[in-house]
Amino acid sequence: MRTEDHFPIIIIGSSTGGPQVLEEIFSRVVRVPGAIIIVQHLFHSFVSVLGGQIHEACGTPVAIPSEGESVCAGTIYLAPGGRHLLLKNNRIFCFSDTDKLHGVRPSIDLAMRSLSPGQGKRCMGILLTGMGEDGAKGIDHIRKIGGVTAVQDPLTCAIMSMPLSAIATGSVDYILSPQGIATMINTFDPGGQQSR
Amino acid sequence: MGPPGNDTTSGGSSDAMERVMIVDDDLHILVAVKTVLNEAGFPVDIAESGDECISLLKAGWTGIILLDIMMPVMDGWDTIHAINREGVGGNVLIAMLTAKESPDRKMIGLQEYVFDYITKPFEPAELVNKVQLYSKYIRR
Repeated sequence: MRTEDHFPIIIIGSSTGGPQVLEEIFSRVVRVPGAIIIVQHLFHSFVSVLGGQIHEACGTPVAIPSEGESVCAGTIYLAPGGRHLLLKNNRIFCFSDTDKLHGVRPSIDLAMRSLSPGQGKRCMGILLTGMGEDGAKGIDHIRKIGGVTAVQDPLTCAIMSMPLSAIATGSVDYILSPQGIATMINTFDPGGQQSR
Repeated sequence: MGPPGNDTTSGGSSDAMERVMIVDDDLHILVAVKTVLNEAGFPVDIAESGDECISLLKAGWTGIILLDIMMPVMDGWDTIHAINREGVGGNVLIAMLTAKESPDRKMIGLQEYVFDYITKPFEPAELVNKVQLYSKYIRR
């Protein structure tokens, strides 16, 4: 039996070309397994609009978390612009204004790498379209702590270098279309036997 | 068809449509993109260089910018740096519209300012769909 303390966490990293892919994915998401945290490289004034678009697409409210806020199951979170998003003990949001990493803040790598091994197989990392290498080390980290990893099929990306960087780590379990990513989210059940 | 200009004439209901600025040194691209977007109802302004784009923004222009990368003197990345330096990018959405299949390393550090990346040649319907999507981000 899954307790509230053991709900899954899915972190989605996304950059240029990502908002429309996120809308496409979430228009097909019918179930939010645990908490979904989206780190999208985006000018700060567009963040709340994207949250509204995702809410409109899937019907689940999208929250922009604050410092010290607890991660809640059944919720979609969208990282605010301009600050690194981190998780403390896998359950508390905290933020950092340290230097940009890979030219970006928030960094997908930092968010994914803040997941500690205690989350184990109850986590999933997904990397979408974008320029550069952000997210590759994060995907590798999630795979190493026992989570499931997926990237958007580079052929469907506006810019394919982020997924390709992740694939090069050898830690990507699935290469999927946006529709495939939605299916993976809908069926994610780490309490069951989702196999690689 | 005459040379492209900065007008608001269009084949659709431009009152409800966001303005689009095309920034490209290639006259053929300017004409083609302007025609496609005008027919879809978008009012279109053109800039033949990054400098012209900055001048329009300084004059208060807001909307969706379709920005070429490969331009003489000031390329697309330099133009984004200039927009940020001048502080005139507060109410614009930038999408690259470029012949480069993939961006170069000069994009690193600018990811948050580049909403989308469209590769030429493009399908007119696809371009219109994308600009309609961008409009949702400008309007709210």
